[in-house]
Amino acid sequence: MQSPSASRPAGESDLDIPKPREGNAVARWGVKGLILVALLIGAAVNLVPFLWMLSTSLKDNTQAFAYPPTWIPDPVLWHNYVDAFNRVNGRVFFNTAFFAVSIVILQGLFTTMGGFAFARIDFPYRNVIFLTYLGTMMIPPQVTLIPTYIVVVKLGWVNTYQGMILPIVASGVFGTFLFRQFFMRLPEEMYEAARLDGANYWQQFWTFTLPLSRPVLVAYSIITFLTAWKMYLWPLIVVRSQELKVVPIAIAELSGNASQDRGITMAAVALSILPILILYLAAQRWFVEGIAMSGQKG
Amino acid sequence: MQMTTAKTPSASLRRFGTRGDRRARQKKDWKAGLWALLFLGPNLILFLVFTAWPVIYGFYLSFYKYNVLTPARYVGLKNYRDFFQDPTTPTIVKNTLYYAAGAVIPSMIVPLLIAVLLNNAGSLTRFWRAIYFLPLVTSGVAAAAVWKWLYAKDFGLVNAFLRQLGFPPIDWLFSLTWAMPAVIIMTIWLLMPFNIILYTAGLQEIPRDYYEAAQLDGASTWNQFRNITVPLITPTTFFVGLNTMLGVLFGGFDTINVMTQGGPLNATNILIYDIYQNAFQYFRMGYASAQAYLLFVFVFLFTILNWVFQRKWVHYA
Repeated sequence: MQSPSASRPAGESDLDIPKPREGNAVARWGVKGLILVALLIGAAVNLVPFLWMLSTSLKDNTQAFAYPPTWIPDPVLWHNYVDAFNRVNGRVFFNTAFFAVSIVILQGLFTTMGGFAFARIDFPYRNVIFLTYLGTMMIPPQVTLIPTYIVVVKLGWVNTYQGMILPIVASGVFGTFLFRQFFMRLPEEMYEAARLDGANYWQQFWTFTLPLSRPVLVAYSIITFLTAWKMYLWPLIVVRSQELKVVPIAIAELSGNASQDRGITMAAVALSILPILILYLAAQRWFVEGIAMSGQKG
Repeated sequence: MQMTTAKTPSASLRRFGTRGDRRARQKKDWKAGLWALLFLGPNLILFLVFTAWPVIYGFYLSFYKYNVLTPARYVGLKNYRDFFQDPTTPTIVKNTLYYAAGAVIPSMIVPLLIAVLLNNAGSLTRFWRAIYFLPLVTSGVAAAAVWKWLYAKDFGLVNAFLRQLGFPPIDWLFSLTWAMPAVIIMTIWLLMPFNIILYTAGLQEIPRDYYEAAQLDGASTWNQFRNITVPLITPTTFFVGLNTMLGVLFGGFDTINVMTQGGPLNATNILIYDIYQNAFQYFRMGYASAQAYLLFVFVFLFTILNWVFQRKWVHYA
């Protein structure tokens, strides 16, 4: 996919088109002004929740519960962030990272390998199995939520990492589909040449199929990481103990506790966003491509 | 996306092979099967255990009374009957429709306008995009925690703003009337970047010649938007609509559990939240499964209806 940032403005043209009428320049500037105003309002709506979070995260309770609300914290309580980290607990941050990274690695590996099998290996019942995969893609997750939980119970995996992680890895049916489609578009001649050289399927997969799909794999992994880092409902159901909690559970608890300090809660939210924010600033392009990729589902 | 079947010519020719060929083919099939098992095995096992089997098992469960601890007891259609006779069911169904429509319809319109504006922002497009995509970094839970605070009656920013405009403050999350709109607004905000990105990708598919031709004819910016962009973007609009609906029907849980817990007085109790409560707080697994399946049937019928109906308004180039 072409990166959206490389696109040219759709409504404008740099061709030398004779202006049909006088006064069009004024109209154009008017339109530009309107666009700017609209963009500014939209930007404010987008930014205010973040700024308000940051502002509150540096306030003590007297300021947080000031009437009318104020923007500038005074005094500035940097210590809220230390308290927030302690209250959420370093272990919880580790769990979330472990949960998300495991899902990215396992799902990346299994979906590319599965996609390769469907795209490049001619095995018995391939189409039947593939159609079964496709069929389940239309089934919304709420249908499988309860029975999957019961399977986890029966396996004795409640309150374990594998219970948290593997059912989510299994939900990568779209990934399998995506990589199959991508691998099928790779030139057949390459595979013929590899076969003539005596390369087996694993070598074909590992030496050129995977390297060639790096852009798709990176975009897919980033979106998977993002989704896993934000995941709430499934961990909430499977996790029982303090030791296995993930960040969204901790945030929800802090937020639900009315007696809790607002400043510390907002600092915790800010901390929970921070890793993704860094990733976002470093790899904005991949975020965009990954999401645009999911648009191919249709 | 087009589904292509990767039948190599040799694969289709082999069908008509002689007996000797068949033996060779069986050997080859057997080898390919082993390779496929190696590649697909882990994926397939997880798929069978955590996706395919649960789909069947969930349906089975919906005819049972089951609380995980004691053995399941067959109750026939009782769970389904109970759902339709439960006095809170109409409220929950109404809320779910309200929430879905309230979040989906604006999500099909506003992000398109913003995507077009961003495309026309000239040299600053990258800068604006960075701001508009920022909600991507927040989880539903984090966003809900912040918005809950924005909506606070006395100390929240939303009411402070309303007071400045001369409106009386609203107790957003504790009001029977306003709790749902509050949750919906936050949901639209949260999903906005996804939909802007989808629309931006869609806009690139529209050939630039159309705009150039329209400009030669002296068509105004608005006319270009109305007569070129809107009709030609409909495939994306269709996808955004379906995707957002599926997203909110499930993801609405995070928002609602943090912001309102279904309250006040069930005013924001939507089906996914009720399913969660029944299954994991009251351990009515069978009943919750029946609810989940009814939701599935509803979503399925709605999707089919949309596919049929799309011919009337979706233009494929």
